[in-house]
Amino acid sequence: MFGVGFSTTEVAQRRQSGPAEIDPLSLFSGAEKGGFWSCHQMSALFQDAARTTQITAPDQNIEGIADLSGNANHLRYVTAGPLYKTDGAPGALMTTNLGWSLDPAGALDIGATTGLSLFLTLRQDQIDTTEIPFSTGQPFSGGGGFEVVTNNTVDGRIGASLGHGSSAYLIVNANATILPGASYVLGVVFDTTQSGTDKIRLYLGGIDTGVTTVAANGTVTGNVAAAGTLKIGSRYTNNTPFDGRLHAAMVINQALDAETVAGVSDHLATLAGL
Amino acid sequence: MSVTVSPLALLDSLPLEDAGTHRRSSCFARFRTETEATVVRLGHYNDLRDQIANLTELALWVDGVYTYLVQPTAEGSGSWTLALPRGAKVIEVIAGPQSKPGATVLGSFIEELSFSRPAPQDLTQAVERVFVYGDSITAGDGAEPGAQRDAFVPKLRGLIGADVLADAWGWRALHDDCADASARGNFAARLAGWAPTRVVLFIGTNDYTLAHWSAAEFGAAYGATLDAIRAVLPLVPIDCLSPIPRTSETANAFGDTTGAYRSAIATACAARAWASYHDGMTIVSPANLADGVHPNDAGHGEISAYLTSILEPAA
Repeated sequence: MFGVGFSTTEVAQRRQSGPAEIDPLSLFSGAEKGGFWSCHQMSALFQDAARTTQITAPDQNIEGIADLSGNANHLRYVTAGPLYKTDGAPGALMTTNLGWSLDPAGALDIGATTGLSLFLTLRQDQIDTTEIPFSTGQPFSGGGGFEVVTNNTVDGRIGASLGHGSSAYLIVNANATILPGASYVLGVVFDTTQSGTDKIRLYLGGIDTGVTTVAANGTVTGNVAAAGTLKIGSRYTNNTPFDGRLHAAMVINQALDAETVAGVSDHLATLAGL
Repeated sequence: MSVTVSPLALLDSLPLEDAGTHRRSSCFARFRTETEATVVRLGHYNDLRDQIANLTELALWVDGVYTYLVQPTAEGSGSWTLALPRGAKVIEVIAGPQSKPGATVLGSFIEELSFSRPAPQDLTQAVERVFVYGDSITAGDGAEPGAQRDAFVPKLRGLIGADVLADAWGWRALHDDCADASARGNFAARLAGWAPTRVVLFIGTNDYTLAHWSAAEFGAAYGATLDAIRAVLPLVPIDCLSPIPRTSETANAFGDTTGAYRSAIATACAARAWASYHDGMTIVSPANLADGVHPNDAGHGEISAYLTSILEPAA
């Protein structure tokens, strides 16, 4: 028998949150700006920056990735690209400082928006030094950029920042821990119309982690996503690279709600076999 | 699709009590599920951190491996999100220890769990179910941080493959629960409600040190408590552990030493063939005390090893 006071149908209160999986491509059907790059579709991966020779097998260097969002924000790698891997968590093996850049080089055009959502499907290979898997640099509307940080304090935490330099900025850490070897979908929603730490929400696997402020200066307002040098896999200054597998990245000029974040996260997890 | 679970019952716990702001479980109560989720958010509540921060940790085990220790950063509700390995695995979340530094019992509790994939709660019970009644030692004091790994109760679960409930908190004494016949009846009924197959009483050191009553009064109440348990669980063996060594065992306000309370337990057991006496002085080495009273990790290991030696034949 089981304890007193509960029948087997009363052992827990459950609720399911979020809609069914949401294909990220459906979010771009209204010509929203942004990009979607994923290793799940080999036909979008290329051995050359000109994107003429497709990836056909594991351990080939990925030097070009076609943007699946329809915005033609294709990516290139300036020298021997990360290896395409299919064992374990599939994706690009990231190890160097360079990261992916736009092709042709330049700023990510994401328009004037106060909200932006970002997704990354990652496998964290080790916990050692600060790593930055997604970054945009200056100039930025209001004088900043946005970044996502893993190993933010070299303890497995992840974080994100909005704005930087002498301008207003906000840097937060997720109330979350990542162990080496863990694969996960990280979602970040930037929304400058919100107040306090609600300007940055961090999600793991579609679950809102809550955040703790690391540093803040003034109040970040205005457009969140004006022109800035895009870098995926390292910082825009070509340092602090992400060290692990990068399966997919997506950015869109909308502050998605929690349910949509959960739906997109579920779909990205499915694409990565998580 | 993420799933959020607010448990109304937990393994190795007495029925959860609705305390308004949270549900109170037994210390080291377990939530268990088999899931393919790669992320879990552990929602917790504690009312102990301001007084004893080290006793507010919760832990998460993956496939029997101690993986995460969550330390609340403030009293009240909080949450921490954890990444999990890929694929199907058994997840166990273990609640924190408990103590009673003032008028009420305080602790650290599991409130709500959100998983990135379905995670049905598993309440399957083990065949053997050991109910341990005790004080701060049973509640894991001295084994923190990481009491969910190093304290003798969670260790014992792994060693004998049984459900082990810790009905315990810091400062607890037999006097708190069994001072008169009515209290003893209620205590026995509560214990029997969990349907144990074995009962371990590991109580008495606070009856001595707080001088709630004399060793003679303690012994009489202890024997009557054994009888009350026997009345509702006539076939369940009862093991009685006397207090482990203390750095100081000088006479208390009643003129009784710790040894007098040990003798009182031995006497109560001697009169009842179905109750087994175990001398705490032989279970833990004085060298393995963390603070003169509570065992350190090695001392908790000694207790779990000893209990394994007496419980395993029945497990």
